[in-house]
Amino acid sequence: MIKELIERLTAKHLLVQRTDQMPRNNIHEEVIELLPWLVNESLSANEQLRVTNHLKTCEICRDERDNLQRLQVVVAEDDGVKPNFRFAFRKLEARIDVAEANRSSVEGIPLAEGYSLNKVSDIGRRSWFSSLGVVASLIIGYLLGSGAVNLDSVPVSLSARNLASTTSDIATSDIATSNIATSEIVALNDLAPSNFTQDSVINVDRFVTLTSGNADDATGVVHRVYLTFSQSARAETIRAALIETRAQIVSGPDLFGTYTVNMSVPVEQTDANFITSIRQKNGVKYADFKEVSDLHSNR
Amino acid sequence: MTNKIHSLKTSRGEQDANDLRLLQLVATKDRLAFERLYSKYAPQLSRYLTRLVRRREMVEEVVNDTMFVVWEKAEKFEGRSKVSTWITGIAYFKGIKALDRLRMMPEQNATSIMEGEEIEETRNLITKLGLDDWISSGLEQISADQRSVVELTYFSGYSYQEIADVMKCPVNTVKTRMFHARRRLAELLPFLGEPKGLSRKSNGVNRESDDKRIDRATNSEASVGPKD
Repeated sequence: MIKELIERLTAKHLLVQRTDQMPRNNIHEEVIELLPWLVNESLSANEQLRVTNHLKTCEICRDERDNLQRLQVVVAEDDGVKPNFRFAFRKLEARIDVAEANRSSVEGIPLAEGYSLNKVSDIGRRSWFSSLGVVASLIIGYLLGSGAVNLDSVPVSLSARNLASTTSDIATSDIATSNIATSEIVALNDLAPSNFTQDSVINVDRFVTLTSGNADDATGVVHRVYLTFSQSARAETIRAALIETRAQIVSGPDLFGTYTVNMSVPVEQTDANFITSIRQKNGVKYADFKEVSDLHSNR
Repeated sequence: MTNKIHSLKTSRGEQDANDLRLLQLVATKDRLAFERLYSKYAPQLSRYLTRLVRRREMVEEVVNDTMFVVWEKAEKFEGRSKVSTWITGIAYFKGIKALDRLRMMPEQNATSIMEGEEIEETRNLITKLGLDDWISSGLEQISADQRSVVELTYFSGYSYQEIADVMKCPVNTVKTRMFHARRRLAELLPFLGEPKGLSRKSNGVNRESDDKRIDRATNSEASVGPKD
């Protein structure tokens, strides 16, 4: 059959006609141009009429039409390949499932009051930063833990350039949409100027952790406490205990899972009663004042 | 929120009406309807993309890329064309993107003329390989856009207006691409020798520029207009 088709194609001028036989008018050229769509029967009624009228008087166009019809047979021939569309569809379904899951996981997270979920593109268009600044507490922990800086009297200067990529974006979206499992990760600078630029310097003089209150709000004497939680304690439990005891994490956890925290002992409570009450908190494995603990370890 | 697609109706025939009903269900995230739409379109998209992209191993991925967009954007369909035209248009652009990735578009090679020796070689090749291989290698010699026009015309039966919708280009560009494709395919046929009927100089009329030709076609089209 293939051989026969080749013979038939060879016997005719396929697709092209001799120049010297071409009539000298525009309708001929127009018809030549439209012939492929005459062959596939998609011309409008008007066009079809014009083309068929021309074909009655033009042998060249008739031959060309016949040639194009043969070409259509060849081009439209089944390629014989039968892919497994069921398997391909399953792959596409899996892709859709992932996309839907990602979408619902973002949409399903409740936002804190005052926060909105911003698109990355929206965030990118901002030319200035909001009044909130965010600082990693490892920096705080380092500064405080090293003993070089006292929490109550910091002013810490940080270049806004270093924070530029994280501050407002994290403050407005990431924090709001993610569960903060450990309280030491982030602190907010609530005194940052509202219209600072990338090149400005933030003078941070007060930090408030997200999970604890302001130490200034607590009444009583502030003590530094070593606090260890049992390994099975969940992040939520640890966080609840820290909030309940109004603790501010200074550093940790260390290799033994011990946090160094600042705790305010209420005036109506003795130190011993206070530390006992801390030890009774859910998930707390060990609690002691730093001075006592250091004394024990020095023995 | 009510999307426009749910109030759409079509007068473009029963097939388009069926497609539109399915797409309206897909817009409500109906998986069953989507599977039916996929079953209907995957084979023809696969065939079209095989011709367009020329890499079978890529076709399934491009088909799925296309249908993923259909799933995601069904509610945005505005009914300005047939559903099939809309889907094929997505497939065309996904296919072109895939080709771009491969950097394998012989876009401007279409007008080069074969030498006599090459034609003789091709003749021998046809005899040796058969017609399927000839058409396959012939289509490989024309640009992706020209292949797209040939395939959509001869296999899918699209009007030039529909092809223009699919490829997001003017109608005259479609006609020009078909013109070049026919000319090139004619060159590749071993028994023809020099292609004349579709040559630049036909019948004493110098067709030196596509622009002139397009102008002429525009004028003639204005009085006729494409089939709806």
